[in-house]
Amino acid sequence: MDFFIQALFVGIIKGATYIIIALSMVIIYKSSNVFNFAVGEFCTMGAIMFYVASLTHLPLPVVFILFLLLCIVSSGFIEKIVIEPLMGRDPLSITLVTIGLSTFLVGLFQMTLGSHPVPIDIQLPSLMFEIGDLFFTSEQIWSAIFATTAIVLLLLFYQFTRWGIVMRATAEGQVKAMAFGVNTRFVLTLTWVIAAIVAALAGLVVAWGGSLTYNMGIIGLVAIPVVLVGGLESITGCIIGGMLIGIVESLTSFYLESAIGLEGFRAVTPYLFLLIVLMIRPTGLFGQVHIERV
Amino acid sequence: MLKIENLTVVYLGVISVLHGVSLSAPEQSITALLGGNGSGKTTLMRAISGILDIYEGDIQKGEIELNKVKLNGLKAVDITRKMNLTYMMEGRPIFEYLTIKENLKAAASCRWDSNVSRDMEGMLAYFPPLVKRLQSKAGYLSGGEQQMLCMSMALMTNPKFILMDEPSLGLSPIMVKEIFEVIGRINSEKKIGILLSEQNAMVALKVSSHGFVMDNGRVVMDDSAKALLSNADIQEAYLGSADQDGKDYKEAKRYKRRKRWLG
Repeated sequence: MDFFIQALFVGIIKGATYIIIALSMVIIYKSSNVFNFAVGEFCTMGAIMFYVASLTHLPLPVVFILFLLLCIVSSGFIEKIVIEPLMGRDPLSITLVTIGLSTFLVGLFQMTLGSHPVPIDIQLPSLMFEIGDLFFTSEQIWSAIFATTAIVLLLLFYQFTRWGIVMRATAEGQVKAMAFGVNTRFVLTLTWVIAAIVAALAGLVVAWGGSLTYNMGIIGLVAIPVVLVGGLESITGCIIGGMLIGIVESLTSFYLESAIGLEGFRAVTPYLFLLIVLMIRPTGLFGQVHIERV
Repeated sequence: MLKIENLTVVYLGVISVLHGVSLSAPEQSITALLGGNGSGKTTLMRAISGILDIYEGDIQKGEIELNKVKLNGLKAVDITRKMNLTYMMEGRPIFEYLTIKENLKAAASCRWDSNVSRDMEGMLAYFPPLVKRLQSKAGYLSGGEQQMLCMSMALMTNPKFILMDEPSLGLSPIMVKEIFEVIGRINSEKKIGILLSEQNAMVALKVSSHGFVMDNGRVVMDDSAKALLSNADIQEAYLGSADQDGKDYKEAKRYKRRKRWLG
């Protein structure tokens, strides 16, 4: 039984990281109907920015603020150069551009980082957790805390602040928002920057647990089943989908892999799970069913 | 004074929609813009408010001026924020998944000053039915309430001039009367100029001081509202003909009617 609970909790904690990455994709999809394939590279970029900030050897809070500033600058730069010229065009074009952007960024990271993993060390108090036979590393607990804080802050931002309301309104109808004087260009830039920061946080957590490599962006691929299971436009779906996928993956790695002798099968189970869910609910568990009059 | 001179608008480079439209709407009064479907009223309003390029439209010739300031090349955001001209689109443009209060906040985002909450109270004084449903999602409101919400959102942007596109669309006659009463009050109490594009000619002309009639992308009649109400052609085209006996079908042919516009 303890084994099962350990598997469950590891799954939930891993799920927290998946939720953040999926949130990044959902934020962008809700506002511009673009499926951001470069989300993994935004994660890597975040980890790199943190590494660069930590080279200054300043105290941790300062490094964190520096990290946020670097993320804002770099993602704003990418958005202005790559996304904004395509504003108003078919979202599919912008989606294709994100695929190219992802490849370009991987190459860029390899050129700057080299092919060897770079360790990232964050001096945080140890929160190692032991209850009976259950054991959680400090990194796992901290990543769960980061993820939960990020999710809560994001939800509060969207529900209660003025800019959050404006962003939700623009997501519903860009032209309507423009007619009422909303600066939609700025709102779109803001959306991408927030999504990039959210992804950067996830990248930080992943790199801290493992290490920073140039192709760490593969983690972004796991966000795809999470987003599709939860429904592309739903933040609730993100959270529930992330939990489910995390638990499914963890249970597979704890139980199924040894049972059927297929090591690494847990990389496949999220997609199998996605297949089953889509067969029952094609738009995801919480997705909006679009009724189109033909 | 909102002045439009010789405006030519083309969609997708090939579909010519407005052919040399000229009209003027003084500030602080209500001007009616009448015309059947497809006469170019919405296109004209899109051109004035600067969102024409989203619909792949292009102003090829002509000038749009508000108080001697050219509106042609300005971005839509600047037109609403700096020139204080708001376009209330047709079809009740509200944000359905936001609550009424959030809708008003979103509309007020172009002016982050401290008067926003006070203005919100003022807005709700014009539209008492909205007060009861402040926290419900806007998508659940009835048609009339949505139209009231639209209007209060337009008022929250602190306009000096509002372009209203078919506010009476799909509303019951009692609701139309209520809405137009409020339109009259907005104009007289807040001194906001209104360009009112309408299908319901009777109600529009009753509340306006001046009227333009458009047909096929051209202005075909331009007169005071009272004169238009008693004009025989307008009566025949929009208000139902006074002559109820079986009309000779030949007489009702459109090309013959068009000749009479010039008279």
